[in-house]
Amino acid sequence: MNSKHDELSRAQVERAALPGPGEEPHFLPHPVMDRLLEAVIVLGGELWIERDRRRALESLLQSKGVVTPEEIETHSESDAQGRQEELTALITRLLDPLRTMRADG
Amino acid sequence: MEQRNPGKHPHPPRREDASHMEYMTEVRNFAIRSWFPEIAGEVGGIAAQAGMPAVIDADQYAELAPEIDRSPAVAGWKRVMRSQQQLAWQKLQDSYAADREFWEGRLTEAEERNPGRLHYDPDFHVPESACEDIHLQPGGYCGDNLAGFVFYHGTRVFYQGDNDKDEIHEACVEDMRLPADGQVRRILDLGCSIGQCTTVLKERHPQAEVWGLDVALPMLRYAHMRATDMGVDVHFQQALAENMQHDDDSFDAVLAYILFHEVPEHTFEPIVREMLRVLRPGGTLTVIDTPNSTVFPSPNWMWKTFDARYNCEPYSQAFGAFDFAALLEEVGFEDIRKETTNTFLLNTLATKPG
Ligand SMILES: C[S@@+](CC[C@H](N)C(=O)[O-])C[C@H]1O[C@@H](n2cnc3c(N)ncnc32)[C@H](O)[C@@H]1O
Repeated sequence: MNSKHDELSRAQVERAALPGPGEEPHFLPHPVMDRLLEAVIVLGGELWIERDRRRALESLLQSKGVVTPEEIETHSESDAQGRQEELTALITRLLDPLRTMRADG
Repeated sequence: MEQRNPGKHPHPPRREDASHMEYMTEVRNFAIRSWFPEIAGEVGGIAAQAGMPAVIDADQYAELAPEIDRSPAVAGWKRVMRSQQQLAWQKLQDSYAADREFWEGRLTEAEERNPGRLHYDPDFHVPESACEDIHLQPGGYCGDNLAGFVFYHGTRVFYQGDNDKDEIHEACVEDMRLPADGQVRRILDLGCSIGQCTTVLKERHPQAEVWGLDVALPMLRYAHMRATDMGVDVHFQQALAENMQHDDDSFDAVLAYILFHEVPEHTFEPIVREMLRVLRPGGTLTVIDTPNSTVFPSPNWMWKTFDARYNCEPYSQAFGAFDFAALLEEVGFEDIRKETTNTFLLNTLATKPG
């Protein structure tokens, strides 16, 4: 049955060879480069979390002059577009060195 | 607190989880929308230089792969795609696990509040193939009681913000083939995960009895809690797609949305036979999944092979190369049609002979 399937090429196996438990592959020439890149992504996430909170805080401070943690926790900013643009710009800054990287380094 | 009530579109536990998800969504958008076109250019260039045609088969790609993997650009892209996925899951999982008792309590409370709608047997045996860390979610669909919570938010990142209001699930239900006689009394959502299609199905067909079936209990418990909070009356059942525990001819329509590329190849035929069995004559099948073909452009191969190994989609390659429409025909479905949608998926529609 399923003649196309009978002709399956050798690259088609039922289960792909996954990295083993706890084993992290590296894609870049040296594992350290993979880790550094991951660290950059983590850093960006941390930065964004802080920035997001700060923006909320500042906007609250501006409008009320008084801040409670609950207010920050539930606050939603009116300048959604400006906020989005700032996030996109941040990620572009972080990852553009990779985007523009070519085989010749 | 409102955000502690999961409902249809819940917030993650803390503001910082929401910020982190948003960041990861943008990283993914960047990698896919801005960066991948350039990677595709690079991969296509390598293929052209090796004298390959625009679309190639798996053997041809295997020949090219070592050269493609040497490209620093490709390597960097893969690292970002994998790390993005790992880091997004990890943060969500840590956040829910920090308040585990509370969230598990929410699941249990829904089972008490809305009994008789979640069907499972504590002795049910989950096959090993259903325990993979699919998409790198730690513990996969079955390994953690809170997997459904984590899956909901993690897939919002995966869908790059395009499914925040279940838009994709609504489109799936919209695209379904329904019986020509218009009779829709019972509908089955096969591999329903957290029941996002299941509830849309009930909203579209309020007169019908709607069942969501999945092998993973944590997904089903979340699905049940979510539907209960939404006030949508549907059934969720733990079973294998290859052994559904429903009567012959008992459903009018079956939907399987992105189930097949995640199951081992030896189960394709048993599952298709089971779908045929439970459908009544004239009943209809809609399978929405990754396209089946033995040839793809070289950049697609790069992504597909990366996804299989490094985004933990261990069975996806076999489904990709499989002639699924031919199997439907062999097993006894008729009027089989393939429809490409505006997403990257393929809809395969079929009817049980009347
Ligand atoms: C990608 S998810 C499906 C997504 C879902 N249909 C939706 O609407 O979002 C695949 C699901 O198939 C389930 N699954 C895997 N193998 C199965 C099997 N043999 N029988 C039933 N469900 C299975 C998994 O537990 C998982 O929830």
